[in-house]
Amino acid sequence: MDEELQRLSQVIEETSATRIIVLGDLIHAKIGMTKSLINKVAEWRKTFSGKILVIKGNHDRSWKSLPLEWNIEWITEWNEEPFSFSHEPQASKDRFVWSGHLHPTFRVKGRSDAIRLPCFHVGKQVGVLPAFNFFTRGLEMPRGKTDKVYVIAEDKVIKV
Amino acid sequence: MSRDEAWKKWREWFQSQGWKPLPFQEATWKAMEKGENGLLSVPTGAGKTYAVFGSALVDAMAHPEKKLQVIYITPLRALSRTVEAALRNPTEAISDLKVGARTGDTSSHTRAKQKKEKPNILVTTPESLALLLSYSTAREDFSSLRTVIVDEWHELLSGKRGSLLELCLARLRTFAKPKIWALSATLSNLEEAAEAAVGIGGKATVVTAEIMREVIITSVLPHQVDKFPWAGHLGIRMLHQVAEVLSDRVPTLIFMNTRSQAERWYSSLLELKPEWASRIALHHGSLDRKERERVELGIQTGDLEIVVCTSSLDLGVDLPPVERVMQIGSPKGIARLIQRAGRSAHQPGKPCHIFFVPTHAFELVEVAAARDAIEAKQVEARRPLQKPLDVLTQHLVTCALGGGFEKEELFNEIKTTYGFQDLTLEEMEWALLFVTQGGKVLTAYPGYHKITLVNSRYEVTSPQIARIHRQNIGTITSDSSVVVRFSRGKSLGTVEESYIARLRRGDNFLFAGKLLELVLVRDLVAYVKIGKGSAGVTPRWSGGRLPMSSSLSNAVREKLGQISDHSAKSPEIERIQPIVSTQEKLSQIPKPSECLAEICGTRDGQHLFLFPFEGRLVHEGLAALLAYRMGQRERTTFALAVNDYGIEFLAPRNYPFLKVFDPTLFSLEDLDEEMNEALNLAELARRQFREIARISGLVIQNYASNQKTGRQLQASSSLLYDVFQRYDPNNLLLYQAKREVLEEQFQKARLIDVLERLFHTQFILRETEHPTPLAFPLVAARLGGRLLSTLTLEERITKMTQEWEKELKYPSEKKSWNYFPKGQSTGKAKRLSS
Repeated sequence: MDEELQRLSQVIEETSATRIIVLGDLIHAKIGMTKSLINKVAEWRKTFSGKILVIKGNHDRSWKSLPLEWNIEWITEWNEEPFSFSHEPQASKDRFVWSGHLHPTFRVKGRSDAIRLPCFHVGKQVGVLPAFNFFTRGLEMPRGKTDKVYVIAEDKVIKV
Repeated sequence: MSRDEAWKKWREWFQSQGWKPLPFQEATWKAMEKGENGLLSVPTGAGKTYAVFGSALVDAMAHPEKKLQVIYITPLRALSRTVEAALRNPTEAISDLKVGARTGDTSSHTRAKQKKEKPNILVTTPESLALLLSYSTAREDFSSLRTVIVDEWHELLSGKRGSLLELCLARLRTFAKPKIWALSATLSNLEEAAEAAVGIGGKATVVTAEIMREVIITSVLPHQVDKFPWAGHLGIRMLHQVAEVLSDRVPTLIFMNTRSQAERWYSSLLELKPEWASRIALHHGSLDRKERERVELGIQTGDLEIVVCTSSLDLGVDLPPVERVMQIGSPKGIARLIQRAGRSAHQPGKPCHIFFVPTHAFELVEVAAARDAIEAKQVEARRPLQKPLDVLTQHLVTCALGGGFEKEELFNEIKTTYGFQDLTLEEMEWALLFVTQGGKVLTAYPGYHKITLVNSRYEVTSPQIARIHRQNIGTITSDSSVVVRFSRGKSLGTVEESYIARLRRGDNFLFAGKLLELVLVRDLVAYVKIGKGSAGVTPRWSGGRLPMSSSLSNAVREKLGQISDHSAKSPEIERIQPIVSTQEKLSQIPKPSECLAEICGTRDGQHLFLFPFEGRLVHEGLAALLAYRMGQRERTTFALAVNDYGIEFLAPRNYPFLKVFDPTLFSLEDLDEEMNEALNLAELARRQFREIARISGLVIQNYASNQKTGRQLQASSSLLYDVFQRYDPNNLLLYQAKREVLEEQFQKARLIDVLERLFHTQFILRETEHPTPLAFPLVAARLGGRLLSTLTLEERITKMTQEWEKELKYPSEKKSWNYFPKGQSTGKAKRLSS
């Protein structure tokens, strides 16, 4: 947990982001919501003055609301030109959709070598982002003709 | 009743059955009468049950009680009924003692009745015994116990079920000091097995009988060996020849090594001989219990003449009508071959006959070698596990439930077991902390506060924890299984969830001897209907294929030595001569003092083949270690493949194997760290941790009404593993996971012996133009093999994407190359020695 928050702070600093949109699955299981976790996130929240929007994921369903001190907007979907944001990947007619849910991975394969890595999977209508934390393993995705795949190789992102 | 009277009755009953006590039976009765503990090792079917039960029954008759006096532990639930009947016979004839059974199959009605009217003699399994020990009345329930008999101890001994049973036996020793007797098949470490059963410091008498029956092995030889495959494990090619042997209608058990192989053979035999339908059957561990019982009964009554089976019929019930045994594919171990051969025509003293059917050419060498090993009595050992802490933590909760315990008292009791004799006080403290407050990191979760200290005694106070613990007692963790059932109701058996997950609705598969079509999967039930058309796939159950044992490996290397100097004489070796000649022409057959290595370039890249002949598991560890070490000298990515005979390293073209390969690769220096690096041990241990998490109660498999699927279980144990890795890296269960991976998956102890042997061996390095007969099976087995790279991730990705671009420019021709070279070999020999 501490490490994810630290990484998030680092990303905010590097990009000067003013807003964060989380594409769901904020809380994996009820049992994880301990007092110390609530406090930790609340502490961290004070270090970021921007807005945080969280789109509810399937794992978040059991939560009616989030702790007030987190100061997080808890929504089911979000539209903003030119994009639309949703938890589960679903194409929309007029907008490009960013989504999460699948935690995509991709299998890079050579003649005698192969490896599976988390990736950004960007199609014509939908882009799927990898999970932000390292504990989550995900779905192996095929690459269609028009898809672009960027794998995460340790500290680099490589287009394959 | 006086002892003498009871003995007299027993002997009268024994004679009335038309039997005369055999010397080993007399010896066992005598030893038990003197109050000794011990182990009895005789072949199956020799009469070992009554050898131990006679004295136990007499003893119980001489000390009448209304409580439990004798426990008979059997590893298989399925066997308990037969055992119960076998014990009831004499018991009811000569005494008024009561025999009962208590296993996972026992109905709640029977259990309630047993509570009121306690049986004097109880047949049970290790898991049900642990459950009985978890009741608060345990101390009282077992207070009059006089004898404990452990059947098929060799089956339990070397696993966690054995460890758990060792702990439970220690508990029983504290409660009542019973005599303990184990029954075992032949092992090379009988003394150790006996000590594990009776505990440290308890003297064990070992009774063996020199009535090992002669084993006669006849191979069914393939007619044309040059058309016989060099690799494979099904052996369907031998179908016609096998059917020919079977047509004489002698009742036969056909043993297979895996369940999927049994399914294939059963349906192929039926297809070839539809007229056999009424007298042929299939038997394996995944089939529905009713179906298995029907088949067993069919064999006993003689209605079934041919039964295709797996290790499911290795143990247990005598099947007197069986006159012949067949083994398809190498049995991979000497003890196993003897055990299976012993299933034929049970008549003490007479030889047993087994037909061997090879599934690929080199198995003919294995069986010729096995024959030598049997003659030299080189059976394998089975070693008890050393202090598996997941089992200990489970046992602590059981003891806390079963009347509670004091720390020091229980610690001393546990130290009397063979498996935990080296347990340290720190480890005990750690385990206690783990079950009282979830160790260091899980303190926030009440579900992990399983036991509580109440006035210096550890107890369980929460009824919910008590219930969940009892539901999950035991150490058997199978991949969660899916019941296969017709839409209209009849259940056929179970397959593993991971297998069903790969099938789609409408796919055909072969199961229970039927072609089935998958209709729907819901809540761990797969609904099927009879399929049409061709068989798609046969289920593959995990853990099916065993590696070649060390005894057999030794024998095979000896046999190859005899082949290389042309002194081997047996029908198998004669038949395989053409392949031996090809191997000799292209390369060489190694002597026992040598190790053969072959280097060969193909369009796939540069291959190094190494042939230590040490069994698949050792080869896997060895492959990773050597690849890592060669990769340190010259960086690259290797694709690895192994089988029971050797290892293939495949590197990109022009990789300088000659430069990097030398005997120092086999050094024992830095072994642990380099194995750790080479195997990515942390990742492998994650998978192993699933079982540990289950046994230690970190992850709950059975809730009252909702079973977790294997995938959910994997997810939560995997998460816990990561959490421990990061926040509690000294958690002893993590160490255990790594140790288990090394010891079980790579047979580390054996690997060290092999490294030592190879370090001092003479290597024969051959460059060949094509893969040789020995190498070819490895080329075929590579798919799905392991990779090992000493390049960085970025370098690997770049390399692979570059390969794609080449493929696009020069589309590859169909993969093919000629395995039988036309001309003479141009292979050059180069000798290396350390």
